[in-house]
Amino acid sequence: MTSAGFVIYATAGVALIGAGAFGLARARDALRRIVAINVAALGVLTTMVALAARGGGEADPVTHAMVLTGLVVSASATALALALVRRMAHLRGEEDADGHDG
Amino acid sequence: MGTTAETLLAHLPIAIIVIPLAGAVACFVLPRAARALMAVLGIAGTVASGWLAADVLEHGARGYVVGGWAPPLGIALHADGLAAALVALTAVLMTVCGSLARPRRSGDAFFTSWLFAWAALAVVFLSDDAFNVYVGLELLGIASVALVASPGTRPALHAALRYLAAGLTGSLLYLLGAALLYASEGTLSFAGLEDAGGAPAAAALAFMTVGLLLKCAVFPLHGWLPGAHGCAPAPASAVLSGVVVKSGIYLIWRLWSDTLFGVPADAAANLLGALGVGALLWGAAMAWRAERLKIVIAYSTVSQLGYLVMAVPLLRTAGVEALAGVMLLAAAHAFAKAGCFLAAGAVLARRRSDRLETLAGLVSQMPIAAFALGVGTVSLVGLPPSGGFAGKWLLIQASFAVHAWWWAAVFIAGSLLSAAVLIRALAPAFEAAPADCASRAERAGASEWTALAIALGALALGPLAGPWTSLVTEGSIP
Repeated sequence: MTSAGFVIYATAGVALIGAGAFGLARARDALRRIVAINVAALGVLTTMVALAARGGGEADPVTHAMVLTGLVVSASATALALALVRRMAHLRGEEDADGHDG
Repeated sequence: MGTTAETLLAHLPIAIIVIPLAGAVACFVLPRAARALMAVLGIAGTVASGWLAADVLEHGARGYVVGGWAPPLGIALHADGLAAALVALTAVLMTVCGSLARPRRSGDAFFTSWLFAWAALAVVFLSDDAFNVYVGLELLGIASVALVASPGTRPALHAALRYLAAGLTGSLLYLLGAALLYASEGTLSFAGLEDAGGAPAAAALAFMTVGLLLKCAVFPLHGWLPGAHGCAPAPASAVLSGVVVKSGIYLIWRLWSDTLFGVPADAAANLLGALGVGALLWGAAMAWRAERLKIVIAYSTVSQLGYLVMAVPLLRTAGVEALAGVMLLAAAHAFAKAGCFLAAGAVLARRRSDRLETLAGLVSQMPIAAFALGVGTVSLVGLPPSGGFAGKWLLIQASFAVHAWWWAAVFIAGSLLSAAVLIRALAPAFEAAPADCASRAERAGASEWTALAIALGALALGPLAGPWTSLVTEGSIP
C-alpha cells in the first residue's frame, strides 16, 4: 500500500521535525529560535502531506486544505515573532545611543 | 416571538464568533472609535452568549453547520452546556475587563487584539472539529502575545517572545496529533472520535496533550506564564489568567473524558493528576518567594491550574459530578483572578510599584482595591460561600464517590497552601502607612470598583452553584 512518495515525504518530515527540535533546544538567540520553530513546522506539514498520500491513489484533499491553512498560520506567527524581535533590537539601539550620549 | 427569534437563535453559535471577529476588523479600520466599538460589541456579544447559555439550559445542546457545508469538508460547531458556559464566562470577562483597558495610544491595535482573542476563544470552545480548534488556538496565541507585548517595554517584549515560542511549539504538537488522528480515524469531529482507539490514536492523544499542557502552562511547562501574565497590562492579565489558559485545559478535558474512549489511558490520566499536584506545590512555592504582587498572582494561576488538571482522572471515573466541581472551580478562579489582577493594576497605577513591601497602608488608602484582593483570596483559598469552596466541595465528594480519597486530601492541603501564600503576600497591606505618606483614603477609581465587582462574582458563584452546574452538565458525558 505504501508508495515511494509516502516514504520520501514521511522521512523528510520526521527529519525536519528532528532538526527543528534540535535547533530549538540549542538556540540561545531569538532569531535562531524562530527559524528552528519554522523548520519544525515545515516538518509537521511535510508529514501531513505524506499522511495524505498514504493510501496510494488520489491524495486526500482535506489534509491538503489543512496543510495550506497551516502554512498561512505559520507565516503569520513568524511575521509577529520577527516584528517583536525587530522592536526589541530597536529599543536596544535606543538604549545604546542614550548610553553613548550620557 | 416566532420565526425571527428562531432564525436568530439558529445562527447564534456563529454570531458569537462573528461579533468579536467583525469588531476586531472594525477597531483596526476605525482606531479612534475603538473604545466605543468595544463597549457596543461587548454588550452585543454578552447578550448573544447569555441567550445561547439560556437556550442550551432549556432545550439542550445546539449544533450548527457553517455555511451549510457538511463535515468533513465543512466545519461543524457544537454548543453543549460546557461550551456555552465557557463562552458566557468569556463574554462577561472580555466585556468588563475590556472597558477598563487604556491602550498607550489609539491605533496600536490593542482592542483589535483583544477582540481577536475573544473570537478565537469562542472558536475553540464551540468547534466540533480538531483542526478548526488548531486554527482557533493559533489565532488566540497570536492575539494574546500581542496583548502581552502591548506595553512596548523590553521586559514585556521579552515575555511576549517567550510566550509566542511556547505557544507555537505547543500548537505544532497539537497539529501533529490532529493530523495523525485524521489519518487513522478519517474524521476530525470530536463527536466522531468517541470510540477511537489503537496505537495511532494513543500517539495522537499524547502529542495533543503535551502541546496543550505547554499552551496552558501546566507544570513543568509553565515557565512562560509568570513573565507574560506579570508584564501584560492589568486588564489583559485578567483575561489571560481568567479564560485564555482555560481554553487548553478545556480541550484536555474534552480529549480525556469525552472522546478517544478506545485508548486505554487510565495510567496516563493518573500521570496528568500527578502533574497537577506538582503544579499546585511548585506554583505555591514560587508565589511564596515572589516579591511583586502581580508575580504572586501569576504563580497562583500556575498553582490553581494544578487543580484543573488534577481533575482529569476524576473526570474519567466520577463523570458529571467531577465536571460540575471542576467547572465551578474554573469559573470561580476566572472571576477571583481577574479581580485580583485588576486590583493589582490599580495599585500599580496609583503607587508606581507593586512590590510587596510598598503595599503598606493599602487597606486605609485604597480600601476598595484591598477589599477586592481580599474577596479574591477568599475564593482562591476556597472558603465558603465562594465558588472556589463549592467547586472543591463537589470535587472532594466526587473523589470519595470513586474511593479515591487521596485527591480529597490534596484539595484540602492545596487550600492551606493557597491561604499561606496569599496571606503572606497581602499582610503588608494591613500595616500602617509610612509616615511620609498621607494616611487618609483616596477616592476609588472605576478600575477598583470593577475589580471588586468581578471578585464578588466569584463569591456569588457559591450560591449560584446549582444553576451553573445544571448548565455545565447539560448534554455532556453521563
